[in-house]
Amino acid sequence: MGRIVGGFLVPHDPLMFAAADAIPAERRDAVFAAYEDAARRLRDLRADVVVVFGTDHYILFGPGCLPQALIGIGELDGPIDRMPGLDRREIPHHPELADHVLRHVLANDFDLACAKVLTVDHSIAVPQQLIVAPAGDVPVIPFYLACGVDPVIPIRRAARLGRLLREAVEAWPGDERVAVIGSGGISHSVGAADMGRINGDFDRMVLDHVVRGDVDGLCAMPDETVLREGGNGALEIRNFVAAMSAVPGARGEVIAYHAVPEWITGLGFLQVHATGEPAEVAA
Amino acid sequence: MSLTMLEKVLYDLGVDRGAKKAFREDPDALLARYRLSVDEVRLLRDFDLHELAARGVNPMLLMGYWRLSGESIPAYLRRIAAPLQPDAGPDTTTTERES
Repeated sequence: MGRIVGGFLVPHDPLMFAAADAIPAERRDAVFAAYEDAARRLRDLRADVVVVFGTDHYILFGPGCLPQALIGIGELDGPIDRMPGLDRREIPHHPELADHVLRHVLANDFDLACAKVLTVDHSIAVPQQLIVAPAGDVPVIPFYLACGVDPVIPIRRAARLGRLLREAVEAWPGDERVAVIGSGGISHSVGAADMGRINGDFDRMVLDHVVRGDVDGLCAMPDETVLREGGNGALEIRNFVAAMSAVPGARGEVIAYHAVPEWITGLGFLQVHATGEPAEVAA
Repeated sequence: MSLTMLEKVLYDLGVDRGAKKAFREDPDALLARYRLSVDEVRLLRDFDLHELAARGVNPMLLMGYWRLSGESIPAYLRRIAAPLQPDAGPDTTTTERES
């Protein structure tokens, strides 16, 4: 059977690339060092596959089709929104395990869209290029959760999907070691009039919940509270919740936190340790 | 009056190279391809971010579309924070008040 061996929660701020010189080199280096630290830790987990939960930014999916949740099961490349330092490239994938996960999730009464061929955006490409590739460039299985475009996926549904992912991996006949990444900033406001506002108190509260493994606490926060305190970008904590829910006995460890107003985001880096045993998934 | 059609136009203007080019060349002609009210055409042609946001348009779409204005992000923030003044020229992003 497969196993979820741990995970990471990391940001995907495009301004790290598009506005790299907006902050002093020392601060910029500290942010990129956090990704390098996560890459070393991922290598230590000896993962064979990495599942990444990302967010569409109204680039991949348009008004003609807005999936609540989507998995990429075939060939991958990206990012579609390439930028200096983030080139477009093919991404190794694992079609057999991805297809197994899709069918397991569907068979358990969770509607999940799929992309048979997918060009990802920066929310998948940033962790793929800065963490997964340096750690051995193992295959990636991407999920997209609706975090940035109304209607967003209810956060408890994100948790349910994470649990179903874990169940699917544990039902897989192979012995792959699977790591998960929840990709997203903490407080940040994208495109709204308060863009640039970072709420350190909100960010610390989210970090504390992750450290305790308190998925229920994160799910208990109304979206209105998250929007008011953390900005529209903070709805990406859905990706954190999904990743945490996939990890048995999830407990977080803060790798780094950087509030960078010039990059409009509270940047949190956490490892999610697996402390529990594989088990049946509660509905 | 349709939020959904506004988002369709803005999505196209954010990701579709042909739509971007057509908008730069002749915004009225490009906007005429969509089922929009006269009022909505004006909002889009004038980059009235404040009113578009007030109508519920996703702000990520507004950022992508703003690139067509050729103006800066600080100008974007000024524009989205304050209503346009009627009959004013393109430099209406000031937040200065009349004395």
